[in-house]
Amino acid sequence: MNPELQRNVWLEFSWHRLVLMPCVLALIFLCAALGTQPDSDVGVTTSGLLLFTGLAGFWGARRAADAVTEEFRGKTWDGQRMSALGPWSMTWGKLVGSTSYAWYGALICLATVAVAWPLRWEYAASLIIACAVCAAVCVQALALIASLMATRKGLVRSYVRGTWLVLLLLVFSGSSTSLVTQLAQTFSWWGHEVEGWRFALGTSVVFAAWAVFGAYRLMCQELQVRTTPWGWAAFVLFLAWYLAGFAVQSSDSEARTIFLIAGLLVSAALTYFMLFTEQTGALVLRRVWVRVQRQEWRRALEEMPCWLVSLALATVFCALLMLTVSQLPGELDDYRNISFTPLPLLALLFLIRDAAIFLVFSLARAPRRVETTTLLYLALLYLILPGVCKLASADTLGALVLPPVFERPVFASGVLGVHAAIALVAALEHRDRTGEGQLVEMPMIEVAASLFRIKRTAGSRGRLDPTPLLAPSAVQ
Amino acid sequence: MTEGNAIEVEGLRFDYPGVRALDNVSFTVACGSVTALVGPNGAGKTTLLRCIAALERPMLGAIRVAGIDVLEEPRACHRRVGFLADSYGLYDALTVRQCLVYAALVHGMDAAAVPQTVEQTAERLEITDKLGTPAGELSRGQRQRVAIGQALMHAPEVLILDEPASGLDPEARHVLARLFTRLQSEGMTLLVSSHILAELDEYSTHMLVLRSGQVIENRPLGGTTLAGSRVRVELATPVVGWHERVRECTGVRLLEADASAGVLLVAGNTLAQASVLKHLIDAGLPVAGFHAERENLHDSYLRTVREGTQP
Repeated sequence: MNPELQRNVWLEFSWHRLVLMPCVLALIFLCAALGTQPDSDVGVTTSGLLLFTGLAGFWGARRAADAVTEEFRGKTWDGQRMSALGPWSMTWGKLVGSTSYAWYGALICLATVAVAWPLRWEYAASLIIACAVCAAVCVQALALIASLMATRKGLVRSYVRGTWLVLLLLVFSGSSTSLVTQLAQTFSWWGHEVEGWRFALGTSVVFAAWAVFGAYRLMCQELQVRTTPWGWAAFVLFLAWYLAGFAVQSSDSEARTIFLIAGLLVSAALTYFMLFTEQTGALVLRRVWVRVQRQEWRRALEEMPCWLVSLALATVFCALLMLTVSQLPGELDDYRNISFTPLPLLALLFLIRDAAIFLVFSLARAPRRVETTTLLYLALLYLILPGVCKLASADTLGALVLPPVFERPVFASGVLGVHAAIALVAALEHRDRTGEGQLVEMPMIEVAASLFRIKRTAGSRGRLDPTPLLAPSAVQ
Repeated sequence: MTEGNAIEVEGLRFDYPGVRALDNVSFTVACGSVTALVGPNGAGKTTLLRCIAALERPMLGAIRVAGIDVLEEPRACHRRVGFLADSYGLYDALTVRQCLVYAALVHGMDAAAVPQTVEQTAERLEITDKLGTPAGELSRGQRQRVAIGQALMHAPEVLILDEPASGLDPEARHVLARLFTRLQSEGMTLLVSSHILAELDEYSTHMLVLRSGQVIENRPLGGTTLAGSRVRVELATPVVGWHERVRECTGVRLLEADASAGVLLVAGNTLAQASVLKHLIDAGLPVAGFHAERENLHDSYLRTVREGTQP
């Protein structure tokens, strides 16, 4: 028997608790049965599912989160990390063990639901129960992940747990409602007609597997098992592929474009997410840098934080998009008249800028409240400053802060900085080579024109203008 | 790896935000020794111990413990090392027996052998009568022993203890010292950090001094040092200027002296000491005591730290 599981069972079960749970549940079901019509079994099934959600979903998630946090608080975590128990045994021992009492109650509920389920819905019953079990496993594994990440950041205070619980609650309720609304429909995914029920089941199984896998990988790192971040990269790719499926109407050539766009968006979103949740700071980056300098590539990968991996993937997606796509697919007709090519670059530059803002604050000697400070500055840059500019009718100035990318003249200003930077580098290089100075002019109209030319000459979809996009044409 | 070294640390560097906790730390710990890791607060002792136990990854450097490259195979290191953190915890709701059984099982011990090992360990730590008690009800000294018992369950080759004696009463400390001596006699290598030097003195064979993240001293304790043996001389009656006769011997340095006693540093082995004694008696001095002195760890530490502060 897994010793971690055994220890948890020692802690979770006593004769008293073993008897108490079925008694309490039986009384609740009795209430539900008495409170509804004599011949109806709906009351029992509904209350059974609700109780399951409460027990396995919320209480289970809380217990799973406590599995690590309590070790950390009780200062027994180092002892566990030093043990000979493998990361997988530790992960499933904790997941199953800490939630075992919650599952004990939840399984009683499910058994009751299965027995009391109205016969006419028999097919749905098995699907709903399977979905519910998978969703509960998923949420519990996410809670374990959250607590492992919080521990690593040194956050074990109760409010952090509270925040994570609220987040989990949102995920759980969000996913379950979206599942329920999709259950009865059929829809297109990667051009295939899929039945809502089956899709929901498949989704919950796959995401539960990913969540458990994520918890396992984090546990590997905690136990000092050497890992490279391929698991995270695989998850980013999978999520992009999964989400892109909803946008692809029929399997045609546009599917690839949509996948690339989804890839860029997902990797950008996950970069932000990991930047704010992962342990980030000067030391993390310096560790990677020291390994790179010593050309220990494997170790550099081992030390690499997930946000950096997602950022690298975003860069790859950006490059692929710029190389292969010049216009958005037919779906998005409104944007047909603008050139698509620079947009991914713009998105990437914004991402890098925001990551840089975060790093500036986290590189401080004694970094404090990095996340909130960064959020404040991002709000300033994305909401407040553009808002002020807009209200003051200073559109051009506002565009410098946040380019409304789908308006052509202003779009140019977003790329202006990039042009200016490259022109300056070119001018410096020229000075170094020849000793002559350069006059660098950067009129916005020229930049805009360079973008137009791409638009005019790129012509048919999918072909790239031979003129390099980022070559400034105004260097004298 | 040189034969006979249980721990080898080379060029270790560890950074915290804005602070270099360990800077180019290199030292070796001989097999079967008990090394006292001492140093002021914030010297990096805990960080160093955690790095050796493969709980933290250093920025740079190499560590070998019991022949294992810790940075290459941290998990293998966990199996060979027992570690007790300065602030350790026990599962308060479990009984002492359950705690020890759990520790044995997570260290991969064969389930059939567990009950016997638990009994043996409990006996060794003198907690047999507490096996049925929940860990939360134990006294501090007993908790300490249970925690050490957990760290000893897998018979590690190297035992690392961070401040094991803090907060213990004299009797509990004595029990601890006895245990350490016994473990050492069984061939285990111990690395113990502590503030309480007098207590380390009872069982340490080596002293490793860390200050501001750097090793400033690593040497064996006891009568024999690199420079020679400390010998205490006592005279039956005070003789003014008796120590002038000492200077006539070769290889002897006077460390301190007054009219009736003094401390000499004698180079070489015990034969050298015998010849010094003979010289003193031949000179007609009323020598009442002449014995190699085991240097007090406290004095030794203070001297080292003081020397370290001088430029």
